[in-house]
Amino acid sequence: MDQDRTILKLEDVEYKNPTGTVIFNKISFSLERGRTAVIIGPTGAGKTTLVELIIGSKSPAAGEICLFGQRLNKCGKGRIFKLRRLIGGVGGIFQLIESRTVTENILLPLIIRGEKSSLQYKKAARVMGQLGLTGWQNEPAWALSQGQKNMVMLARAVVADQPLLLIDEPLAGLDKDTAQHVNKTLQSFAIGGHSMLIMTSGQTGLFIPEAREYYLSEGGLK
Amino acid sequence: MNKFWYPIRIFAANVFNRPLAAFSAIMSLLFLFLLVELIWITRLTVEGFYHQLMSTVEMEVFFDEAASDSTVTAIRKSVLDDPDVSNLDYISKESARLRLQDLMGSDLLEGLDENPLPRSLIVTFKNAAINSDNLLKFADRLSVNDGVTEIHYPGHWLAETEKTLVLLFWTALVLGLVILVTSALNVVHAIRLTVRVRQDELRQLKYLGAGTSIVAQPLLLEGLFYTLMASVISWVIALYLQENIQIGEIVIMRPPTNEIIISCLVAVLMGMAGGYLGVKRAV
Repeated sequence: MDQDRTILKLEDVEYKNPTGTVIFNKISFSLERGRTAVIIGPTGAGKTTLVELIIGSKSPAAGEICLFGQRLNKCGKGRIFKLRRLIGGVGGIFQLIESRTVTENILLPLIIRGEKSSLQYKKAARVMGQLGLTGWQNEPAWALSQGQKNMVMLARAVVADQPLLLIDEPLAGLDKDTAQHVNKTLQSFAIGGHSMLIMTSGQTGLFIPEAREYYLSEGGLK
Repeated sequence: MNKFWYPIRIFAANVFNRPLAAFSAIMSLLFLFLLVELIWITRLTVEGFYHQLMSTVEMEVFFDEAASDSTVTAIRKSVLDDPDVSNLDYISKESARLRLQDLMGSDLLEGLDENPLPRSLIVTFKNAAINSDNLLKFADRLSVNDGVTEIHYPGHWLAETEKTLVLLFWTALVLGLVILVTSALNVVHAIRLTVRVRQDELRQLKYLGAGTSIVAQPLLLEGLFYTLMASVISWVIALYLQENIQIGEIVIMRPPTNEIIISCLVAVLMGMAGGYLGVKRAV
Protein backbone atom coordinates (compact mmCIF):
# COMPACT_ATOMS: atom_id res chain seq x y z
CA MET A 1 0.00 0.00 0.00
CA ASP A 2 2.82 2.32 1.00
CA GLN A 3 4.58 1.38 -2.22
CA ASP A 4 1.54 2.57 -4.21
CA ARG A 5 1.52 5.94 -2.51
CA THR A 6 5.22 6.58 -3.04
CA ILE A 7 5.78 8.05 -6.45
CA LEU A 8 9.41 9.00 -6.00
CA LYS A 9 11.99 7.29 -3.85
CA LEU A 10 15.75 7.86 -3.63
CA GLU A 11 17.78 5.33 -1.66
CA ASP A 12 21.43 6.00 -0.73
CA VAL A 13 21.98 7.88 -3.95
CA GLU A 14 25.53 8.92 -4.66
CA TYR A 15 26.59 11.18 -7.48
CA LYS A 16 29.92 12.63 -8.49
CA ASN A 17 30.36 15.18 -11.23
CA PRO A 18 32.74 14.38 -14.12
CA THR A 19 35.67 16.00 -12.26
CA GLY A 20 35.11 13.65 -9.32
CA THR A 21 33.57 16.15 -6.89
CA VAL A 22 30.97 14.48 -4.69
CA ILE A 23 27.57 16.13 -5.23
CA PHE A 24 25.39 13.65 -3.34
CA ASN A 25 26.64 11.33 -0.66
CA LYS A 26 24.09 8.61 0.06
CA ILE A 27 20.99 10.77 0.03
CA SER A 28 17.61 9.18 0.66
CA PHE A 29 14.24 10.76 0.13
CA SER A 30 10.70 9.85 -0.80
CA LEU A 31 7.63 11.69 -2.00
CA GLU A 32 4.11 10.39 -1.58
CA ARG A 33 1.30 10.94 -4.01
CA GLY A 34 -0.51 14.25 -3.45
CA ARG A 35 2.26 15.66 -1.25
CA THR A 36 4.67 18.52 -1.80
CA ALA A 37 8.32 18.58 -0.82
CA VAL A 38 10.54 21.61 -1.01
CA ILE A 39 14.27 21.07 -1.31
CA ILE A 40 16.21 24.09 -0.21
CA GLY A 41 19.84 24.47 -1.10
CA PRO A 42 22.29 27.17 -2.06
CA THR A 43 23.45 27.64 -5.63
CA GLY A 44 25.68 24.74 -6.66
CA ALA A 45 24.29 22.39 -4.01
CA GLY A 46 22.99 20.05 -6.71
CA LYS A 47 19.29 20.91 -7.01
CA THR A 48 19.30 20.79 -10.80
CA THR A 49 21.45 17.64 -10.74
CA LEU A 50 18.81 16.04 -8.53
CA VAL A 51 16.16 16.85 -11.14
CA GLU A 52 18.38 15.36 -13.85
CA LEU A 53 18.81 12.18 -11.78
CA ILE A 54 15.06 11.92 -11.21
CA ILE A 55 14.24 12.18 -14.92
CA GLY A 56 16.99 9.71 -15.79
CA SER A 57 19.13 12.03 -17.87
CA LYS A 58 21.98 11.36 -15.43
CA SER A 59 22.72 8.14 -13.58
CA PRO A 60 23.79 7.89 -9.95
CA ALA A 61 27.18 6.38 -9.11
CA ALA A 62 25.48 4.27 -6.45
CA GLY A 63 22.07 3.87 -4.88
CA GLU A 64 18.69 3.57 -6.46
CA ILE A 65 16.00 5.90 -7.75
CA CYS A 66 12.44 4.61 -8.04
CA LEU A 67 10.01 6.67 -10.08
CA PHE A 68 6.37 5.58 -10.13
CA GLY A 69 7.53 2.23 -8.76
CA GLN A 70 10.10 1.69 -11.53
CA ARG A 71 13.80 1.42 -10.78
CA LEU A 72 15.45 3.83 -13.18
CA ASN A 73 18.68 1.84 -13.38
CA LYS A 74 16.65 -1.13 -14.67
CA CYS A 75 14.77 0.96 -17.24
CA GLY A 76 15.68 1.18 -20.88
CA LYS A 77 15.65 4.42 -22.83
CA GLY A 78 12.09 3.89 -24.05
CA ARG A 79 10.75 3.24 -20.54
CA ILE A 80 12.53 6.35 -19.21
CA PHE A 81 10.92 8.45 -21.95
CA LYS A 82 7.52 7.05 -20.96
CA LEU A 83 8.15 7.86 -17.28
CA ARG A 84 9.14 11.41 -18.21
CA ARG A 85 5.72 11.87 -19.79
CA LEU A 86 4.29 11.54 -16.28
CA ILE A 87 6.37 14.47 -15.06
CA GLY A 88 5.57 18.13 -15.49
CA GLY A 89 8.76 20.17 -15.38
CA VAL A 90 9.11 23.85 -14.63
CA GLY A 91 12.31 25.90 -14.59
CA GLY A 92 15.92 24.76 -14.37
CA ILE A 93 16.49 22.27 -17.14
CA PHE A 94 12.82 22.52 -18.16
CA GLN A 95 12.30 25.54 -20.36
CA LEU A 96 9.91 26.65 -23.05
CA ILE A 97 10.74 26.19 -26.70
CA GLU A 98 11.35 29.81 -27.56
CA SER A 99 10.41 29.60 -31.22
CA ARG A 100 6.97 28.14 -30.48
CA THR A 101 3.83 29.93 -29.36
CA VAL A 102 2.32 29.59 -25.89
CA THR A 103 -0.32 27.15 -27.15
CA GLU A 104 2.22 25.07 -29.03
CA ASN A 105 4.36 24.79 -25.91
CA ILE A 106 1.41 23.81 -23.75
CA LEU A 107 0.26 21.24 -26.31
CA LEU A 108 3.62 19.42 -26.37
CA PRO A 109 3.02 16.94 -23.49
CA LEU A 110 -0.35 16.04 -25.05
CA ILE A 111 1.18 15.49 -28.49
CA ILE A 112 3.99 13.42 -27.02
CA ARG A 113 1.49 11.28 -25.09
CA GLY A 114 -0.49 10.76 -28.28
CA GLU A 115 -3.63 12.42 -26.92
CA LYS A 116 -6.54 12.69 -29.38
CA SER A 117 -6.25 15.87 -31.45
CA SER A 118 -9.81 16.90 -30.62
CA LEU A 119 -9.03 16.81 -26.89
CA GLN A 120 -5.68 18.55 -27.07
CA TYR A 121 -6.97 22.06 -27.70
CA LYS A 122 -9.80 21.64 -25.17
CA LYS A 123 -7.36 20.62 -22.43
CA ALA A 124 -4.90 23.38 -23.34
CA ALA A 125 -7.68 25.99 -23.37
CA ARG A 126 -8.98 24.78 -20.00
CA VAL A 127 -5.53 25.03 -18.36
CA MET A 128 -4.81 28.39 -19.96
CA GLY A 129 -8.13 29.65 -18.64
CA GLN A 130 -7.37 28.35 -15.14
CA LEU A 131 -3.94 29.99 -15.05
CA GLY A 132 -5.01 33.25 -16.64
CA LEU A 133 -3.10 32.73 -19.84
CA THR A 134 -6.06 33.37 -22.13
CA GLY A 135 -5.11 36.03 -24.64
CA TRP A 136 -1.49 34.90 -24.89
CA GLN A 137 -2.19 31.80 -26.92
CA ASN A 138 -0.46 32.99 -30.05
CA GLU A 139 2.41 34.85 -28.40
CA PRO A 140 5.80 33.33 -29.19
CA ALA A 141 7.57 32.13 -26.04
CA TRP A 142 10.55 34.40 -26.66
CA ALA A 143 8.31 37.44 -26.33
CA LEU A 144 7.17 36.56 -22.80
CA SER A 145 8.52 37.91 -19.52
CA GLN A 146 10.10 35.46 -17.05
CA GLY A 147 6.93 35.45 -14.92
CA GLN A 148 4.77 34.73 -17.95
CA LYS A 149 7.15 31.97 -19.01
CA ASN A 150 6.87 30.38 -15.57
CA MET A 151 3.10 30.44 -15.78
CA VAL A 152 3.17 28.87 -19.26
CA MET A 153 5.58 26.19 -17.97
CA LEU A 154 3.19 25.52 -15.08
CA ALA A 155 0.35 25.16 -17.58
CA ARG A 156 2.47 22.77 -19.63
CA ALA A 157 3.32 20.84 -16.46
CA VAL A 158 -0.32 20.09 -15.60
CA VAL A 159 -2.05 20.03 -18.99
CA ALA A 160 -1.67 16.27 -19.38
CA ASP A 161 -2.57 15.61 -15.73
CA GLN A 162 1.04 14.71 -15.01
CA PRO A 163 1.15 13.00 -11.59
CA LEU A 164 4.45 14.60 -10.54
CA LEU A 165 5.65 18.17 -10.93
CA LEU A 166 9.36 18.96 -10.72
CA ILE A 167 9.76 22.66 -10.19
CA ASP A 168 13.16 24.32 -10.11
CA GLU A 169 13.41 27.84 -8.67
CA PRO A 170 9.86 28.88 -9.56
CA LEU A 171 10.16 32.40 -8.20
CA ALA A 172 13.72 33.27 -9.20
CA GLY A 173 14.04 36.54 -11.05
CA LEU A 174 10.40 37.54 -10.59
CA ASP A 175 9.10 40.84 -9.23
CA LYS A 176 7.05 40.72 -6.02
CA ASP A 177 3.61 40.72 -7.65
CA THR A 178 4.48 38.07 -10.23
CA ALA A 179 6.20 35.94 -7.58
CA GLN A 180 3.05 36.13 -5.48
CA HIS A 181 0.93 35.09 -8.45
CA VAL A 182 3.17 32.10 -9.19
CA ASN A 183 3.27 31.19 -5.48
CA LYS A 184 -0.53 31.26 -5.29
CA THR A 185 -0.72 29.01 -8.35
CA LEU A 186 1.65 26.53 -6.72
CA GLN A 187 -0.42 26.67 -3.52
CA SER A 188 -3.55 25.92 -5.53
CA PHE A 189 -1.77 22.97 -7.17
CA ALA A 190 -0.79 21.68 -3.71
CA ILE A 191 -4.34 22.02 -2.45
CA GLY A 192 -5.58 20.40 -5.66
CA GLY A 193 -3.62 17.26 -4.80
CA HIS A 194 -0.71 17.58 -7.21
CA SER A 195 2.51 15.88 -6.12
CA MET A 196 5.25 18.45 -6.32
CA LEU A 197 8.96 18.50 -5.74
CA ILE A 198 10.12 22.09 -5.61
CA MET A 199 13.78 23.14 -5.64
CA THR A 200 14.61 26.53 -4.27
CA SER A 201 17.54 28.45 -2.90
CA GLY A 202 15.28 29.65 -0.11
CA GLN A 203 15.76 33.32 -0.92
CA THR A 204 12.58 33.78 -2.89
CA GLY A 205 9.80 33.76 -0.30
CA LEU A 206 8.20 30.57 -1.53
CA PHE A 207 5.50 29.26 0.79
CA ILE A 208 3.55 26.06 0.26
CA PRO A 209 1.40 25.00 3.22
CA GLU A 210 1.98 21.48 4.54
CA ALA A 211 5.03 21.03 2.35
CA ARG A 212 7.88 19.02 3.81
CA GLU A 213 11.15 20.89 3.68
CA TYR A 214 14.57 19.34 3.09
CA TYR A 215 17.92 21.04 3.14
CA LEU A 216 20.52 20.13 0.62
CA SER A 217 24.10 20.95 1.54
CA GLU A 218 27.54 19.41 1.40
CA GLY A 219 26.29 16.35 -0.40
CA GLY A 220 23.64 15.49 2.16
CA LEU A 221 19.88 15.94 2.40
CA LYS A 222 18.34 16.68 5.80
CA MET B 1 -2.18 17.79 -33.85
CA ASN B 2 -1.37 14.09 -33.65
CA LYS B 3 1.87 12.17 -33.82
CA PHE B 4 1.52 11.88 -37.59
CA TRP B 5 1.09 15.58 -38.35
CA TYR B 6 3.44 16.87 -35.69
CA PRO B 7 6.71 15.76 -37.41
CA ILE B 8 5.42 17.06 -40.75
CA ARG B 9 4.51 20.40 -39.25
CA ILE B 10 7.85 20.72 -37.47
CA PHE B 11 9.72 19.68 -40.60
CA ALA B 12 7.85 22.31 -42.63
CA ALA B 13 8.54 24.92 -39.96
CA ASN B 14 12.26 23.98 -39.94
CA VAL B 15 12.50 24.41 -43.69
CA PHE B 16 10.41 27.57 -44.01
CA ASN B 17 11.80 29.28 -40.93
CA ARG B 18 15.33 28.88 -42.27
CA PRO B 19 14.82 29.19 -46.02
CA LEU B 20 18.40 30.19 -46.75
CA ALA B 21 19.83 27.15 -44.95
CA ALA B 22 17.36 24.88 -46.75
CA PHE B 23 18.12 26.55 -50.08
CA SER B 24 21.89 26.16 -49.68
CA ALA B 25 21.53 22.52 -48.57
CA ILE B 26 19.39 21.77 -51.63
CA MET B 27 21.70 23.68 -53.99
CA SER B 28 24.88 21.96 -52.82
CA LEU B 29 23.19 18.55 -53.21
CA LEU B 30 21.69 19.59 -56.53
CA PHE B 31 25.11 20.40 -58.00
CA LEU B 32 26.57 17.14 -56.72
CA PHE B 33 23.67 15.11 -58.12
CA LEU B 34 23.86 17.02 -61.41
CA LEU B 35 27.53 16.07 -61.62
CA VAL B 36 26.66 12.38 -61.11
CA GLU B 37 23.91 12.60 -63.72
CA LEU B 38 26.17 14.34 -66.26
CA ILE B 39 28.81 11.64 -65.72
CA TRP B 40 26.09 9.02 -66.20
CA ILE B 41 24.83 10.66 -69.40
CA THR B 42 28.40 11.08 -70.68
CA ARG B 43 29.14 7.41 -70.09
CA LEU B 44 25.94 6.36 -71.90
CA THR B 45 26.69 8.77 -74.75
CA VAL B 46 30.24 7.48 -75.16
CA GLU B 47 28.92 3.90 -75.13
CA GLY B 48 26.27 4.85 -77.68
CA PHE B 49 28.86 6.51 -79.87
CA TYR B 50 31.08 3.42 -79.51
CA HIS B 51 28.24 1.18 -80.73
CA GLN B 52 27.54 3.63 -83.55
CA LEU B 53 31.18 3.33 -84.59
CA MET B 54 31.12 -0.45 -84.17
CA SER B 55 28.32 -0.73 -86.70
CA THR B 56 30.81 0.55 -89.28
CA VAL B 57 33.48 -2.01 -88.43
CA GLU B 58 34.14 -4.32 -91.34
CA MET B 59 36.42 -7.28 -91.86
CA GLU B 60 37.93 -7.73 -95.30
CA VAL B 61 38.97 -11.27 -96.28
CA PHE B 62 41.23 -11.58 -99.35
CA PHE B 63 41.53 -14.70 -101.45
CA ASP B 64 44.48 -16.22 -103.17
CA GLU B 65 44.55 -15.91 -106.95
CA ALA B 66 44.78 -19.68 -107.16
CA ALA B 67 41.77 -20.35 -104.95
CA SER B 68 39.03 -22.07 -106.87
CA ASP B 69 35.53 -20.62 -107.09
CA SER B 70 34.18 -23.61 -105.18
CA THR B 71 36.59 -22.90 -102.30
CA VAL B 72 35.51 -19.25 -102.22
CA THR B 73 31.86 -20.27 -102.32
CA ALA B 74 32.37 -22.71 -99.45
CA ILE B 75 34.07 -20.02 -97.37
CA ARG B 76 31.28 -17.52 -98.21
CA LYS B 77 28.72 -20.07 -97.08
CA SER B 78 30.51 -20.82 -93.81
CA VAL B 79 30.83 -17.07 -93.06
CA LEU B 80 27.17 -16.44 -93.83
CA ASP B 81 26.19 -19.28 -91.50
CA ASP B 82 28.03 -17.67 -88.60
CA PRO B 83 25.42 -16.24 -86.17
CA ASP B 84 27.60 -13.16 -85.45
CA VAL B 85 27.65 -12.06 -89.09
CA SER B 86 25.05 -9.55 -90.13
CA ASN B 87 26.04 -9.04 -93.76
CA LEU B 88 28.45 -10.35 -96.34
CA ASP B 89 29.49 -8.75 -99.61
CA TYR B 90 31.47 -10.66 -102.19
CA ILE B 91 33.86 -8.47 -104.16
CA SER B 92 34.87 -10.06 -107.43
CA LYS B 93 38.03 -8.98 -109.25
CA GLU B 94 35.94 -6.76 -111.52
CA SER B 95 34.05 -5.21 -108.59
CA ALA B 96 37.40 -4.57 -106.89
CA ARG B 97 38.59 -2.76 -109.99
CA LEU B 98 35.43 -0.61 -110.06
CA ARG B 99 35.76 0.17 -106.35
CA LEU B 100 39.36 1.26 -106.88
CA GLN B 101 38.26 3.38 -109.81
CA ASP B 102 35.57 5.02 -107.68
CA LEU B 103 38.09 5.62 -104.93
CA MET B 104 40.84 7.08 -107.08
CA GLY B 105 38.71 8.83 -109.67
CA SER B 106 40.47 7.13 -112.63
CA ASP B 107 41.21 3.60 -113.74
CA LEU B 108 44.75 2.98 -112.49
CA LEU B 109 44.77 -0.48 -113.98
CA GLU B 110 44.24 0.72 -117.54
CA GLY B 111 46.92 -0.71 -119.77
CA LEU B 112 47.57 -3.76 -117.63
CA ASP B 113 46.98 -7.12 -119.28
CA GLU B 114 45.52 -8.66 -116.15
CA ASN B 115 43.55 -7.32 -113.19
CA PRO B 116 45.91 -7.89 -110.22
CA LEU B 117 43.27 -7.13 -107.59
CA PRO B 118 42.24 -10.12 -105.47
CA ARG B 119 38.73 -11.36 -104.81
CA SER B 120 37.52 -10.57 -101.31
CA LEU B 121 34.68 -10.73 -98.83
CA ILE B 122 33.52 -7.76 -96.78
CA VAL B 123 32.01 -9.02 -93.56
CA THR B 124 29.94 -6.89 -91.21
CA PHE B 125 28.93 -8.10 -87.78
CA LYS B 126 26.02 -7.81 -85.44
CA ASN B 127 26.68 -5.04 -82.89
CA ALA B 128 26.59 -7.38 -79.92
CA ALA B 129 29.27 -9.54 -81.47
CA ILE B 130 31.74 -6.76 -82.12
CA ASN B 131 34.63 -6.88 -79.72
CA SER B 132 38.32 -7.44 -80.22
CA ASP B 133 38.25 -10.99 -78.82
CA ASN B 134 35.36 -12.15 -81.00
CA LEU B 135 36.77 -10.64 -84.17
CA LEU B 136 40.21 -12.09 -83.47
CA LYS B 137 38.71 -15.58 -83.04
CA PHE B 138 36.64 -15.11 -86.17
CA ALA B 139 39.71 -14.01 -88.15
CA ASP B 140 41.73 -16.96 -86.78
CA ARG B 141 39.01 -19.38 -87.87
CA LEU B 142 38.94 -17.91 -91.37
CA SER B 143 42.68 -17.70 -91.81
CA VAL B 144 43.11 -21.48 -91.53
CA ASN B 145 41.06 -21.94 -94.69
CA ASP B 146 43.04 -22.68 -97.85
CA GLY B 147 42.73 -19.85 -100.29
CA VAL B 148 42.55 -17.04 -97.67
CA THR B 149 45.62 -14.86 -97.93
CA GLU B 150 44.94 -11.83 -95.77
CA ILE B 151 42.36 -10.61 -93.31
CA HIS B 152 42.08 -6.92 -92.52
CA TYR B 153 40.05 -5.35 -89.71
CA PRO B 154 40.75 -2.58 -87.16
CA GLY B 155 41.69 -5.01 -84.38
CA HIS B 156 44.24 -2.80 -82.64
CA TRP B 157 41.94 0.22 -82.71
CA LEU B 158 39.12 -1.93 -81.35
CA ALA B 159 41.25 -3.22 -78.46
CA GLU B 160 42.38 0.30 -77.55
CA THR B 161 38.82 1.64 -77.72
CA GLU B 162 37.65 -1.17 -75.45
CA LYS B 163 40.36 -0.32 -72.91
CA THR B 164 39.29 3.33 -73.04
CA LEU B 165 35.68 2.29 -72.46
CA VAL B 166 36.62 0.16 -69.45
CA LEU B 167 38.66 3.05 -68.07
CA LEU B 168 35.73 5.39 -68.63
CA PHE B 169 33.35 2.95 -66.92
CA TRP B 170 35.51 2.66 -63.80
CA THR B 171 36.24 6.39 -63.72
CA ALA B 172 32.52 7.13 -63.92
CA LEU B 173 31.74 4.54 -61.26
CA VAL B 174 34.40 5.76 -58.82
CA LEU B 175 33.55 9.41 -59.45
CA GLY B 176 29.87 8.65 -59.04
CA LEU B 177 30.46 6.83 -55.76
CA VAL B 178 32.76 9.56 -54.43
CA ILE B 179 30.15 12.19 -55.27
CA LEU B 180 27.38 10.14 -53.70
CA VAL B 181 29.40 9.71 -50.49
CA THR B 182 30.07 13.47 -50.55
CA SER B 183 26.33 14.04 -50.98
CA ALA B 184 25.57 11.76 -48.04
CA LEU B 185 28.09 13.65 -45.90
CA ASN B 186 26.47 16.85 -47.07
CA VAL B 187 23.08 15.66 -45.82
CA VAL B 188 24.62 14.55 -42.51
CA HIS B 189 26.21 17.97 -42.18
CA ALA B 190 22.98 19.80 -43.05
CA ILE B 191 21.01 17.80 -40.50
CA ARG B 192 23.72 18.20 -37.85
CA LEU B 193 23.50 21.92 -38.44
CA THR B 194 19.75 21.79 -37.94
CA VAL B 195 20.24 19.71 -34.80
CA ARG B 196 22.77 22.26 -33.52
CA VAL B 197 20.38 25.13 -34.23
CA ARG B 198 17.52 23.29 -32.54
CA GLN B 199 19.58 21.75 -29.73
CA ASP B 200 17.59 23.41 -26.93
CA GLU B 201 14.30 22.44 -28.49
CA LEU B 202 15.33 18.80 -28.94
CA ARG B 203 16.59 18.69 -25.35
CA GLN B 204 13.25 20.02 -24.09
CA LEU B 205 11.36 17.45 -26.15
CA LYS B 206 13.47 14.70 -24.63
CA TYR B 207 12.92 16.06 -21.11
CA LEU B 208 9.18 16.01 -21.79
CA GLY B 209 9.44 12.35 -22.75
CA ALA B 210 9.44 12.57 -26.55
CA GLY B 211 10.74 9.29 -27.90
CA THR B 212 13.30 8.86 -30.64
CA SER B 213 10.70 8.82 -33.38
CA ILE B 214 9.06 12.12 -32.53
CA VAL B 215 12.46 13.86 -32.21
CA ALA B 216 14.04 12.24 -35.24
CA GLN B 217 11.14 12.16 -37.71
CA PRO B 218 11.15 15.87 -38.65
CA LEU B 219 14.90 15.68 -39.23
CA LEU B 220 14.63 12.51 -41.31
CA LEU B 221 11.92 14.23 -43.34
CA GLU B 222 14.25 17.19 -43.77
CA GLY B 223 17.01 14.93 -45.15
CA LEU B 224 14.47 13.24 -47.41
CA PHE B 225 13.12 16.57 -48.63
CA TYR B 226 16.57 18.01 -49.43
CA THR B 227 17.66 14.96 -51.42
CA LEU B 228 14.32 14.51 -53.20
CA MET B 229 14.22 18.16 -54.27
CA ALA B 230 17.88 18.12 -55.29
CA SER B 231 17.58 14.88 -57.29
CA VAL B 232 14.35 15.87 -59.06
CA ILE B 233 15.56 19.38 -59.97
CA SER B 234 18.99 18.10 -61.04
CA TRP B 235 17.32 15.52 -63.34
CA VAL B 236 15.14 18.23 -64.85
CA ILE B 237 18.28 20.26 -65.60
CA ALA B 238 20.23 17.23 -66.86
CA LEU B 239 17.41 16.13 -69.17
CA TYR B 240 16.95 19.68 -70.45
CA LEU B 241 20.65 19.79 -71.30
CA GLN B 242 20.44 16.32 -72.88
CA GLU B 243 17.56 17.47 -75.11
CA ASN B 244 19.08 20.77 -76.12
CA ILE B 245 22.79 20.15 -76.53
CA GLN B 246 24.07 18.95 -79.88
CA ILE B 247 27.66 17.79 -80.40
CA GLY B 248 28.18 17.05 -84.09
CA GLU B 249 26.64 13.71 -85.00
CA ILE B 250 26.96 12.31 -81.51
CA VAL B 251 23.61 11.37 -80.04
CA ILE B 252 23.41 12.48 -76.39
CA MET B 253 21.89 9.51 -74.62
CA ARG B 254 19.12 9.70 -72.05
CA PRO B 255 19.08 7.18 -69.19
CA PRO B 256 15.94 5.01 -69.08
CA THR B 257 13.06 6.54 -67.09
CA ASN B 258 12.92 3.64 -64.62
CA GLU B 259 16.63 4.15 -63.83
CA ILE B 260 16.00 7.87 -63.30
CA ILE B 261 13.20 7.02 -60.84
CA ILE B 262 15.42 4.47 -59.09
CA SER B 263 18.20 7.07 -58.79
CA CYS B 264 15.73 9.50 -57.18
CA LEU B 265 14.67 6.77 -54.73
CA VAL B 266 18.32 6.01 -53.95
CA ALA B 267 18.86 9.72 -53.32
CA VAL B 268 15.85 9.76 -50.97
CA LEU B 269 17.15 6.72 -49.08
CA MET B 270 20.54 8.39 -48.87
CA GLY B 271 18.85 11.51 -47.52
CA MET B 272 17.06 9.52 -44.84
CA ALA B 273 20.24 7.63 -43.94
CA GLY B 274 22.13 10.94 -43.83
CA GLY B 275 19.34 12.41 -41.73
CA TYR B 276 19.53 9.46 -39.36
CA LEU B 277 23.31 9.76 -39.01
CA GLY B 278 22.93 13.50 -38.52
CA VAL B 279 20.34 13.13 -35.80
CA LYS B 280 21.69 9.94 -34.18
CA ARG B 281 23.64 11.68 -31.47
CA ALA B 282 20.83 14.08 -30.70
CA VAL B 283 18.36 11.29 -29.95
